[in-house]
Amino acid sequence: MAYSRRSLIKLLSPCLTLIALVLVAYSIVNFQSYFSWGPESISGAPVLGQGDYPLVSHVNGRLAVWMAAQMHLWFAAFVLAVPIFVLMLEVIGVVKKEKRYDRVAYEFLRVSITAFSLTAITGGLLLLTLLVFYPDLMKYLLSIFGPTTLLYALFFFFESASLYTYYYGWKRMSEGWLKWAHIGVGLALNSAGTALMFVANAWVTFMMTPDGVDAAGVFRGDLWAAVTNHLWSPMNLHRFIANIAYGGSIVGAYAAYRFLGAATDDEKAHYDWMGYTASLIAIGALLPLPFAGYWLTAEIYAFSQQMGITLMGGVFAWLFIVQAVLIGALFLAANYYLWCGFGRSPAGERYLRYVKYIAFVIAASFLVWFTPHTLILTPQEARALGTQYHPYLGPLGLMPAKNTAVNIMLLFTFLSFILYRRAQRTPTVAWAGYGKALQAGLFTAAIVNIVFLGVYYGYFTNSLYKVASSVPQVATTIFVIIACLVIEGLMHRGATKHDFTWGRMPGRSQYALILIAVSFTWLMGLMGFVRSAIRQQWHVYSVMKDASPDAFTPSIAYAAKVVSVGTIIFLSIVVFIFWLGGLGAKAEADE
Amino acid sequence: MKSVFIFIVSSIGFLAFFLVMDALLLNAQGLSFIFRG
Repeated sequence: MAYSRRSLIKLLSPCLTLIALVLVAYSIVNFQSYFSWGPESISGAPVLGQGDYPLVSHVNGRLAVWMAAQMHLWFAAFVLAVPIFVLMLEVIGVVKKEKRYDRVAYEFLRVSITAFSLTAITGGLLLLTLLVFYPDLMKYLLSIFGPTTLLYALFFFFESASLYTYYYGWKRMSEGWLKWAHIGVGLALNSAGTALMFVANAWVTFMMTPDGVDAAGVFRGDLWAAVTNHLWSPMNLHRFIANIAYGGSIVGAYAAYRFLGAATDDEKAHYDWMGYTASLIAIGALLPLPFAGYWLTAEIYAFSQQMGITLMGGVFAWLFIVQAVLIGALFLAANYYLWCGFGRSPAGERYLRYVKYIAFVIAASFLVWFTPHTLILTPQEARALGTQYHPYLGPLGLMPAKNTAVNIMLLFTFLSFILYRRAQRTPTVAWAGYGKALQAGLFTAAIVNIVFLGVYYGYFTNSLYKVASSVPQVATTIFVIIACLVIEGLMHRGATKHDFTWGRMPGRSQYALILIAVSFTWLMGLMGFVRSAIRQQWHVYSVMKDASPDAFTPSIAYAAKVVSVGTIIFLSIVVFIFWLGGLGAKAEADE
Repeated sequence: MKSVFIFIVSSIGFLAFFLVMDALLLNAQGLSFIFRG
């Protein structure tokens, strides 16, 4: 059976190479125009009419591009993220001299290898649909970003070469200096992958916050200015962190899938540990993600107040409520998984009594987070209420309340993690009791400060402080996490370790891991739609108008349906990849 | 008893630290590294 999977990879590899060749050929054909900046680019952004958009019968161009882009982004997020923590695990394995890290890293990589081919195929599909349905937009973008497409193709080749060397060389390069050379290849793979994403981000962010062009779209000749537009850096950071979280969640779901089908205790233990490690990486990366999101949003507002208001104050605000529900569900699932993990050790049971309090705080924060500011009311309800806002719950719909709720939710999720760690060991240092008191003091002060910032600066000062107060709230949360981990580390030096059994987890805990992966996927699709749709009727915001028949913002219901169908298709393919990964693992076990 | 004392003192101490941090970060200059303009 192993041969069938290898045959599949062999079949897909030429496809990948072919797409890379197409990209390079396309870049070479247009090479001259990249550097000459002829009359085409001097004339600025083209003014288009409906007739400039090719029609293909029975195919909606926008929908085709949307689906291709969405599929490509999901797969790309997955394959950029997995090698990052594969490399991390490989290094940890070498430093700690523990083979299990190496084994699980290799298994992570095997799961992603098929996804690499699918990323290239969906990328090719995206390029084709863009060229077919939006040729003038592509021509305009290429007149500015031409040289970067060549760079993209080069990074693509570099990434493919290092990926296959990394994967196929894993076993041959496993000892001595060859192992370090292998780690070097992994580093090259990650560098190329991240650089690839940064290049693509420049194109996407230029469409939202164009720079290096004048009001008519005439390119001034400074490509670096076009690349480093307002959103480029925050988008790079946001996608980089989100990809790690996403990759972790998908591998966690893979481990859950394999755990549920495990036949032996050893297998269960292995996949339980794998699921825990992956979910830890996912949640660890999720914690700083809202902060990168704040920066991204702040830059949107800085570029255009109008765009910012469309994003947060207009019809799209409802998608932020959906976002809150999905992220809230994700946090509940992550906490539930940690609480189930108390059962891996008999000593963990002493912490079960705290679960109800943590659950209460997280549920209350969750409710605040998804409380809408404006209500959808019938005329009778609006008359009875006398306003669009609820008299008591209305203030909870504003951002200061939500920021406060999110930070408290993060702190209590971290508390669940601390208790989970304590389920495994008991400190023996004499000052352990004082250390715990210090941590309790830290938590108490942090919660008071976060609530004070949210209530006082959010509701009793001017609007500048309303936005700005989110920064010290975030800083407080980060400080607590770092300080608590330092105290925890010092306190548990030489601690007594309790019996700890991997695999002693109820089956239902694994569904929490699957829920996390589904929530992430859905969330990326929905919020990606919002980010893209705030350009409204513009291809390139305020520079190049979209004149196609689809130059309107679809209803939220329509967008949600498209993203939901995309999510189902993507996750079905992911399940297929899991199945292939399982075949590979089985074949190796047989050998 | 000593633990309760440490809890109270550290709560007040950390709160004072956080309030100073808030004041520094809410100062426009302090935020300029995040927000442009």
